[in-house]
Amino acid sequence: MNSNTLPTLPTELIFSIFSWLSPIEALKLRTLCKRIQTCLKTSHFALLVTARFLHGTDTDFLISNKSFDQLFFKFPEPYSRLAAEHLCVVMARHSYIQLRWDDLTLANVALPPAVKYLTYFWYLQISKTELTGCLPVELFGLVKLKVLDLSDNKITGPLPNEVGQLVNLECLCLRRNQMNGPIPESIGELKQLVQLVLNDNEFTTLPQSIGELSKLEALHLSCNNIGGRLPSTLGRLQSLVFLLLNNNLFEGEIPVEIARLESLRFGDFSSNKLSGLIPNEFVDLIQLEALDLRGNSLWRDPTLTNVDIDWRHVLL
Amino acid sequence: MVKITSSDNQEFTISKEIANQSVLIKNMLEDVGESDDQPIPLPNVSGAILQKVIEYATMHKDDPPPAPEDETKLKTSEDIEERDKEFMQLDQGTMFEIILAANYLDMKNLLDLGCKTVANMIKGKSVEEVRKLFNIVNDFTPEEEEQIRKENEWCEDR
Repeated sequence: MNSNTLPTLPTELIFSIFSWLSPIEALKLRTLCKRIQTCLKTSHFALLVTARFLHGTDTDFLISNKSFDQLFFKFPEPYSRLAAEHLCVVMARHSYIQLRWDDLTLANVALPPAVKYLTYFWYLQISKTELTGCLPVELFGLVKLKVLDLSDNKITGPLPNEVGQLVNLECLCLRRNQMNGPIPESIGELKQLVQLVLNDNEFTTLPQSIGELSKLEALHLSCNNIGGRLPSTLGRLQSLVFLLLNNNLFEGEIPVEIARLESLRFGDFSSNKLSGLIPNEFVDLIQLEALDLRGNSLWRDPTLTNVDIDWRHVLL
Repeated sequence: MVKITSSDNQEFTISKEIANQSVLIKNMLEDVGESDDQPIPLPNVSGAILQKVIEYATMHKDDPPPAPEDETKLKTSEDIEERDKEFMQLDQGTMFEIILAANYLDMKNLLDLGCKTVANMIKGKSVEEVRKLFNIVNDFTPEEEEQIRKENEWCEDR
């Protein structure tokens, strides 16, 4: 006489058996019966099955692997946390401090809160994927980051004010997404920033604090919905080489302070609603190679004669 | 030699190296000392199952001690020796009895073998197929089952 069946086994044995399955497979079997459902939904089981699933896996398994992507992007904690921590351990073993997640195997997933456990990396790139949803505030706890590149995705929602916590950031690239709302005031906290690339989104305002970014060399804000007057603080960006503001809703006069951008080589203000006189002080832009002012209501001072700005480089 | 008795009072005499594969018996032997030749009672294991367990232990008595855990080696349920696969060709009742016995006797290798074998039987099957295979009664109401399926939707392949 044998009365033993799978559901009558002690809990620890049900754990042991089901932890040999992949986390996905084990979760699907939660509907077998109540007893097994009770066992498999415990966090203790989550730890066991994830630890066993990831044990011994190396970078070639983790990168571009659908099971792993599912674990990190779709599973709740503690699954996603264990996945992130394991990724850090394995990458650290190879001293890979850059994480490039370009072959995301899943479509329409958002960056999960567990991103906060990717603390090992200073370079995070998830680009040209179908990443969607808003940026979780947990992302901005990764204070080691020097490069954050989430370009060419389908990210929506605002750029949270918490972005100001990433004080080591040298490159922030969010171009070609569907992000909206103001560029937060806290952007001015990113004192190490060299490149700020936010073009092709739906951002609406540019804060005065932009002038705090003394190391900024490229400011790329083309093709947004940024309105209002150009912040006069832009003139304080002494390192700025590229200033691309075209296809926005900027209005009013160009502030004379822009003429103090002594490193500026390429400027694009085209297709805005700028109006009035082009400041004569533009003659001070000695490095200038190209400046596009078309698609505005701007004009040169016709009385100006002793100007040595090379107007051949200026499109008006 | 060591004497052990099953729940149905069958007595087995086994060598110490076989007995020591059970951490439970090993600890008992260390507690009572060498001199005592009283049989060790194992009230949780029947004679028939004990027979199978001894067969397994005898087969593995010359195994080298287990290597320390290798962090870079994958753990998979497919990783089973051929002779162990043959050993586990049993009816389900006996298989679960052996798993329970291995758990009680604290025999890690046999316990792993049993659990992997069951896991391999489950792998790749649908919920309905697994229920059928192991005679699991679905004790959810249709509403409850639908609820859990909904909770699980995020991990479905689509």
